[in-house]
Amino acid sequence: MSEQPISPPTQQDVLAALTAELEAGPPDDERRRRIQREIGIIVGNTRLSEIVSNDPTGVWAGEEDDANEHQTSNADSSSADQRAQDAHIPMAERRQAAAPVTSRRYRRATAPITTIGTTPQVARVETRSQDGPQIPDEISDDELRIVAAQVNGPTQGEQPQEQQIAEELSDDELRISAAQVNGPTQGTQPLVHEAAGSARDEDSAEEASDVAEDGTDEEDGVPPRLILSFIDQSQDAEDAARLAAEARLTGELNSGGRFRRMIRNAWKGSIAREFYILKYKRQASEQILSSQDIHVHETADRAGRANAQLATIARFESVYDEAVHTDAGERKEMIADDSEFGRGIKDLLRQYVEGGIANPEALEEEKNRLLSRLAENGDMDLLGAGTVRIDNLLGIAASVKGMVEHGQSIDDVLAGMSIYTGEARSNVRTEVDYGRVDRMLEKLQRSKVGSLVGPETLGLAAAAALIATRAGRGSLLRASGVMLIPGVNGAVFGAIRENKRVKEERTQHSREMAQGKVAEGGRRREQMDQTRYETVAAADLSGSLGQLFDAEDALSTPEQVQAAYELLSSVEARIRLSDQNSIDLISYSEVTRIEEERLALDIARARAKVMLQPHLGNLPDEYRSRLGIESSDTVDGAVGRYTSILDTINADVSSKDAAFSKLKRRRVATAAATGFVTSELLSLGTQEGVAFADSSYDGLLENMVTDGDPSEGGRQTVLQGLANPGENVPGERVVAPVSTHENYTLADTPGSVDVSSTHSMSVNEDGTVGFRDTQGAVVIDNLAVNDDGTLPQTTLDALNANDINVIDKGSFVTDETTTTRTVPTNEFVDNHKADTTHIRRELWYDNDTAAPRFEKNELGLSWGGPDNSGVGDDGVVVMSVASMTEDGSYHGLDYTNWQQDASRGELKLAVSASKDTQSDVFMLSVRPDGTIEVPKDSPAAHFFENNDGQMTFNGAYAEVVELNGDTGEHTSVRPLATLVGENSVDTIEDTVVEQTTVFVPNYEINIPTTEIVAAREVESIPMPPIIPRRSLERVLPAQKISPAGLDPFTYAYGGGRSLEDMRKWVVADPSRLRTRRQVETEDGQLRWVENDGNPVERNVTNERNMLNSYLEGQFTAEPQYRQYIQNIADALGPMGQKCRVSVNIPAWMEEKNLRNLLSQYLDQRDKDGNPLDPGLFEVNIIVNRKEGTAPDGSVGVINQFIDQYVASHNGQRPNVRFVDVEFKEEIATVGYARKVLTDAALLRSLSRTDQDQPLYIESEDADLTNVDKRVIANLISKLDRNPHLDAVHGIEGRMPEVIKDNDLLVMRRNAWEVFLLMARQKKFRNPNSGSWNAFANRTITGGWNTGYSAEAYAMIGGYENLRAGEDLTIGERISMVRGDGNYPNLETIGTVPTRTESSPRRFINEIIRNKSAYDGFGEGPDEQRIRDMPLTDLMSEISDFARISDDNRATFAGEADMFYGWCLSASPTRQDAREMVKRVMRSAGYREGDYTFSGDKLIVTNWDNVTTNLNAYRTQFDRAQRPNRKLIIGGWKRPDLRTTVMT
Amino acid sequence: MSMEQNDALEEFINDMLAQKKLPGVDEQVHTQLVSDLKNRLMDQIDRAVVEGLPSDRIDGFNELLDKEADDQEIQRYIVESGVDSRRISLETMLRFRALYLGE
Repeated sequence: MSEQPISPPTQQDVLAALTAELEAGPPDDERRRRIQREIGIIVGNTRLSEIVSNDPTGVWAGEEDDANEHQTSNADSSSADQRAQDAHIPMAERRQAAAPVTSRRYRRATAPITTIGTTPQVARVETRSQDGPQIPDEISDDELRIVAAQVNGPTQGEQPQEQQIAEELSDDELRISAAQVNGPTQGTQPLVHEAAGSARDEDSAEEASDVAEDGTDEEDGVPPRLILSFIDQSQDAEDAARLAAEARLTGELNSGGRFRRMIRNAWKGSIAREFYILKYKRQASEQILSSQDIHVHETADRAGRANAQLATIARFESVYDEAVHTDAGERKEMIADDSEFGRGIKDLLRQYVEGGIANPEALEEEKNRLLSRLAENGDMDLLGAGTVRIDNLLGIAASVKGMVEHGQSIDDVLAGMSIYTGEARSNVRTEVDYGRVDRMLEKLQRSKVGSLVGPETLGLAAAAALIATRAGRGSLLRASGVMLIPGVNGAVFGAIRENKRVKEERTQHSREMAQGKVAEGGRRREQMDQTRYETVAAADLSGSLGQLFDAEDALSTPEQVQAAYELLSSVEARIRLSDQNSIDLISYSEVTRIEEERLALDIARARAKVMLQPHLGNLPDEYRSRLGIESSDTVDGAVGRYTSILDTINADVSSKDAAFSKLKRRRVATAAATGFVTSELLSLGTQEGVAFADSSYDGLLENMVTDGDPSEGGRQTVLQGLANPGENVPGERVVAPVSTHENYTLADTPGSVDVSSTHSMSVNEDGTVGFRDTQGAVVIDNLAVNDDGTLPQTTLDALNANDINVIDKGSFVTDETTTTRTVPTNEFVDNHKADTTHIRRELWYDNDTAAPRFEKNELGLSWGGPDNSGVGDDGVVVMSVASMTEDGSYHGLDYTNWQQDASRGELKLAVSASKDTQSDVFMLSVRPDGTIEVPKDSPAAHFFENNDGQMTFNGAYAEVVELNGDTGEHTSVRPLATLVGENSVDTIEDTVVEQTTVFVPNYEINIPTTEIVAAREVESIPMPPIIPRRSLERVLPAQKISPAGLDPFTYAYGGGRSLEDMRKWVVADPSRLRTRRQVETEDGQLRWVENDGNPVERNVTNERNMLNSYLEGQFTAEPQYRQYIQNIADALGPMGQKCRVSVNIPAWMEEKNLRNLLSQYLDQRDKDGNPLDPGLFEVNIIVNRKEGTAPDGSVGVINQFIDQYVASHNGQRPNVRFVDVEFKEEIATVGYARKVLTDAALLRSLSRTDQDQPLYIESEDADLTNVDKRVIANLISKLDRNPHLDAVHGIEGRMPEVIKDNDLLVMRRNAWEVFLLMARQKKFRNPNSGSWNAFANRTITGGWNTGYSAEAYAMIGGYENLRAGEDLTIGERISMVRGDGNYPNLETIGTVPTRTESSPRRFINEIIRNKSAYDGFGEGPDEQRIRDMPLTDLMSEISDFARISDDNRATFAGEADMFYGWCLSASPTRQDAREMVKRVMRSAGYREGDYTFSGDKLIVTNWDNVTTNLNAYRTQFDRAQRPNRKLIIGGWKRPDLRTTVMT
Repeated sequence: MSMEQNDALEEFINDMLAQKKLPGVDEQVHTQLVSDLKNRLMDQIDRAVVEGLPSDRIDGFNELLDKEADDQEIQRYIVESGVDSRRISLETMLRFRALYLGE
């Protein structure tokens, strides 16, 4: 291990070299063959490891080639964990391939890429000779390590210090390093660079060395030609930013739990997708600009990115037109020496060489200044936008300087230098649509164009949009339509969005697949893949070209020429169509290898054309004739005539496009339907919700809940509107007639009509009438009217028929007429009935005027007025009762006081017109003072007459009466005094009012209106659709996917079973399948059930049936086997009735350890630490050996142990049995030994008569050094409590007291344990995953510390007769039997905390021999050696790694990187692997920050912590009385599997 | 921008703002708001139209832009390319409105 390997030149270096070689001019035959061979190696998709191993010259391996030396092998014996490491051999091999070969001297290839300022620099110098080979120069190991560190990243074999240097160098330091590497300061030789691969043998190497002496080709003396390239990658940067944004969003949409994904998809993946794309793109652009690296988002692998840049430079340096894809938009232009740019650059170089520009930083500044000036002068077309630009100025400058310092003329050097500018399209071809659109829009904005859409079109669209949006508001009549609007909008938006997204997804998927990424799986990816154009790997095309053109007899027959022609034509067609149509018909292995593989293909194409050109005429005549190919045709012209490939490709493109259209239609239709429904529901739901909060907004739900009345005239939701259609129907709705009317007279009749004021009546000439509305429209007409003004029945019927309500309001009216005539008195009284009072005289207050005259008040009425004339003012009649006394009116006991009566208004003057009418009197008031006036207009006045100044009374009586109540029929009066008149009035001229009654017709005509009623406003709220859609599933880096054809079930140890093998095993006997699965119970718990749904349970009956069936099957198949097993069973003796565990141990050559093993095993404890009931278990040993092999002392040791045990335990015999067996050679395997011992145990168990508990089998090895005291208790407990478990596996320890003294050994064992614990988390345990590691991502069974139920053992058919691997098979078969037939069920094998230890000898030997620990298990000299050799001696052989030191640090660095490799192999993503390895590293003693990641490499940068922790661990272990035997070096906490998130 | 286009677009924008129920702003601010929205809408319409261009018409379109063709020439080219500008404009307007109103 003394050699410290360093990295070889990269494949890219080789390619660059070959490019230079090819550019060197027409090759002679010898050179051509060499080129063919070299290119064939490269372009044939051959890995570097193959290049190294196939290299016949040994150049790549260096002078001290150690290419086959593995530093990271895993190893050991019959232990399961050792075999697990074997499972990683493919990974180890993969890593080995990229790792190291040892070489002291390398041909310098291409100078490294460095990042200087903002521009990565690529230094490359090409040599050109006319016919000689290219001359490499040499660089020292030190130089190359730095180069390798920069280009490839540090490798396992590098000096740690140099790794650190390389990793920690600042940009400035790197730049200086680059200059040093390229410049002569590192050596005395001028730097004449060339293709490293050009010198493949010793002669060439010597030649190269010679030439390097003076920097020129010895044969022609032509100085090397320098090519300075400035390549604009602005377009690639734009695309890369978009790709990074899409990838980031896709990753986010696929992360998190189901609910979070759903929410994210609804928001980030749908509604706000564009926002996030633009946001992420902006962020990505910023990072790209700051790093000046278009691949910065693709991979953390700095070396890979540097290689990609180098490849781009190399491609543009190529002389072949094929290398620049003009169809794809690339360009390459040579700068004229006398151009401003050419002069400027050469001037800079001259200044740099001559010292005018002192250092690389200044040169960089000056270059930027020059470019800036050129840009100002409008030369950007030449240089491109310059957002991201790569060039190789600094490298070239260093070379120029070196060449001048070694004697060449600066003028000659500069004169021989070519300057190119160009623009690259480094990505795959599937166009980034948005990038293109963005670019055009930017251009559009810079232009003077106002709008892309004409004003008329825009106006029409705006009007239509306005109508569409306003349609959402309106009456219920449109409500049904309104209701549909949100849904329709949602459907339209959903469809538009989905249409766009599905196209984007196709683009994204095509692009990612072409970049070599591999879909993680999932339906979306599968669907997209069905629409992806068929691609062919660039490496395959290169390889195919190489195969056809490299054959010894290439192009020697017309058929060969035709095949070569067709292949080349196919390749050309694919490239041309890809470039022109921005689609990918060619794929690449990795994103950072696109340029490299593209260049390789370009070179292969170019070379094929060169070789084919002279053979065109050798095409079969008929073929040539059919295609029209002439011998004089150029190859380019000829390949264009081969159109059948175009037909094939176009057919594929058409069919995939058709498939895509179909897929798109389906997706769009689904999105539209979903959009409709979701928008509709959202809209209606939102409306109803808003209605609750808005008082003027009525919602159906609101009214149902609150039972409220709709607000008058307020807005309402669609549902409310639909639920109340009667209120809301707009248009010609009949409304009740108004209550106001206009009166119309029916002409010439006394009748009239009152017509609703909303209408008017018109009279026709024929006398009929009609009614009109306010607009003049006739409602009804020609209605007849009777002469008396009544409406005939016909009219009434007609009105009724028109819903016109008619109310007959006609009435009788009394008419009065006044006439003056002479009437008799009694008639006069009747005529003035209203002025009379019907009286009845009750009594007369006494009136005694007889002699003797004794008058009281009976004569107290007298004429008033002057002189008692009775004539008052204006001739009125005046009378008076003032002469009456207070007590003058009495009658019997009745008495009245006239004054009091007068004051109360109860004293009247009753005037009787005649005696005949004296019951009806004209009543006049008597004033309180006794005055009575008879007004002239009073009817009573007619009965007074003024006779010359004296009033006389011509009526019958004028009586002063006291009112005494009104009975309703008459008024009772009591006369106080009476003036008896002349009673002379017989007739009187009287004015009489006469009344006549007539009927007046009148009708109320109520006419309803049919006005358009503005319905209550029904509103719709359009809502955006929520269309849950799954985005594309993640893609994984290509290297994380198992190579095609590699079965993840397969691993090296034990015979290489594959998943397909296991499937076949199940299918061979379908009755084997005993599927178990978990179902969720009603309470949400998971429960194990058998395939028929019955719960899983373990019972003795089932077990015995299964055991019996199994053994009978064995005995039937091989009858003599019955007796064989019976003999063994008999030798062992009967099994105890209550025995629960049969511990079965094969022992071969283990006499030294048997005593220790047995003494420990018999000291079993229960969970409380008390001695375990010895009847619960038995220990059975099969001492076995191959026939003819001498027995060892095992039997004696066992017998001796038993005897001593009996002696020391009061005669109690230990439950230890053994059988000594000699196997024939064909069955002398550990598998068969375990089988017969276990089968015998089953037979013995079946012989029990009183078994009441299931039997378990514990499988152990005889070399155990430390047995857990709870092996039996843990096994019984775990399996009894978990009937679904068929087997359990404990922890396999490795004597920490021994291995702790070797840092390498203890760290490796520790890391392995922790790694397995991490990798076996359930989330990594999906056997249906492409990244599943069949060994690490499950709980395996082993040969020891493994227990299983006897029933499970019988179920799978027992052990196989294998030399190794029989223990693993147990678990594999159990998992397959419990699975679904296609994939295993990994959940029926559990773990127990039992920690048992075995010898670490195989792992020590693994380090000594640098081979797998279990390689050659059980046989060979090594096997005997490690058994015979004391551990201390074995440990001494690895003492170089006892402690980490400067000398062995590289090994430990490789070890840590190997841990990372384990994790990469057992986790689906790099991120998972990094999270996993962080825990592994911590447990091994490292701390975070002690190491960094670079792609798939882990680089240790600090050794302090791990050294300290290892020492502390040892110290603590040594000091502890009962040391913790778990390997805890750096402190480690078991991860909480429920919360650990490693996504 | 012609009067017809201006009127229709402004009416569309104004209607959108009315639906937005913006608080009272003075006339100058409102005018600016309308102008900004109009510009944004026009940008989106342009983007949609460009996206709708058939791939085989992209180069020609680029050339027109490069040679600074006038509006009519550009618009004619768009129409001749089979792009349904009216439908695209309408869809963009509706989408713009929906997003602006938070619908």
